[in-house]
Amino acid sequence: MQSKPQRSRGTERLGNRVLAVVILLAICSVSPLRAQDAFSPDTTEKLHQRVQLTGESTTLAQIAAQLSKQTGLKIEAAAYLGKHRLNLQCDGDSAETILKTLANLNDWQWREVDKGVILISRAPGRRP
Amino acid sequence: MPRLQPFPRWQLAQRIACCYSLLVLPALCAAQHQPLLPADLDNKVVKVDVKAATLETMVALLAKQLNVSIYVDDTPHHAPIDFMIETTVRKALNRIADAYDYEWKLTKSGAITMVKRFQDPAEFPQTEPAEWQQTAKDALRLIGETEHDFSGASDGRILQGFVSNVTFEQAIALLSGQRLTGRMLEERPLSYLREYMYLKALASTVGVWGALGEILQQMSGNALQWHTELDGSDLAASVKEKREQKLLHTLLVVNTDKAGVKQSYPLATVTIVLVDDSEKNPKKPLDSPDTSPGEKP
Repeated sequence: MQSKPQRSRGTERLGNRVLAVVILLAICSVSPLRAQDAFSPDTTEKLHQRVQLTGESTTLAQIAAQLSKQTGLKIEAAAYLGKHRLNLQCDGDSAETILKTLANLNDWQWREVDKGVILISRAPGRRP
Repeated sequence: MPRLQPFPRWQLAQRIACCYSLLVLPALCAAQHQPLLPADLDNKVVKVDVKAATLETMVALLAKQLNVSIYVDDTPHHAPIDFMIETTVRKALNRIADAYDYEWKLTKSGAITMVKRFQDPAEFPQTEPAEWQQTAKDALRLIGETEHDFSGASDGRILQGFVSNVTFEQAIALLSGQRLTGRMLEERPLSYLREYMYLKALASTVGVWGALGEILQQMSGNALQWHTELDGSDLAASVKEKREQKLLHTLLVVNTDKAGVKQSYPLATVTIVLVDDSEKNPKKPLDSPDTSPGEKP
């Protein structure tokens, strides 16, 4: 008579633990989407879209145009950077990862200048 | 009324886990690009056998074979190269990067980035007038922000101020050839030293950046071209022999008229002295494992 409730309590405890692990897993798989808080929610969502940029050497202006087309955002390069040559082989990276990597590559910065408008420009130089 | 049976939690958890593994995980795996892990650099093998390959070709081959994203800045001014590689990712990247005068790095997101390292004297930066113009503007702005008034400043006055403000012991130490670090100095001599450094490093460049900025602003429609020549002798031979050499880098303005005739004139000239210090600082072998991926010796 006593063993049944004990077993069901044990099963319930196990069930709770499994549930906790499942919830934790679900949160972990979604949390990277919340990494960038400096942008408007709609922009953040679009920046996490996976894009494809492969092919021959191109310019930053062309890359920005491709990113704009694939994300639905307006991604622009500063006029003086438009002709900067690059060669990208990205298949499945998020637009955010691409922008971050490009910025790190050349000491550039990218920010949302208006809702849904991203501008890539040179980072302000550090004072000597 | 029939009493509803409470849904056991373990069953609920089981079903959620099942749904998660069936729906969410495959979706995540399919969407996410496979990042290259630091361990993959020494565990994965690259096999390439290609003739007359440009860096562009090699990057495309590597990206496909490793299923990894590759970001390359600029295009090398190097003739195509033959490659026969069957080695680890790290060694392959070292060989390819070295051949085109690039350096590579594995990013946190598991992609490979490649930038020019300018060890090959024949390599030069991108010459987009608009980008150079912005560089000139930024340089002028930064010099202006140093809050140092360079007008009327002279080496002698600043050095005199420095010497008269160090302690007797410090002066003796300097005279006997010892080194003093900034931390050993009081604020006053340190400010003289800082002023001297700014004067030497920045003041002389104000005019250059200003003139360069103005010229660049006026030259819309023209192109810039980088020309490198060795001071009076053969470039390739001297690089091969690793002799100390002076390199003359000239930034040319190239104007193409309506008839298609190109005319060029020098905009700026930079002389770089190459010193072979390989004996003092021996270069790490390319195939030796680096502590951080892609870090160049």
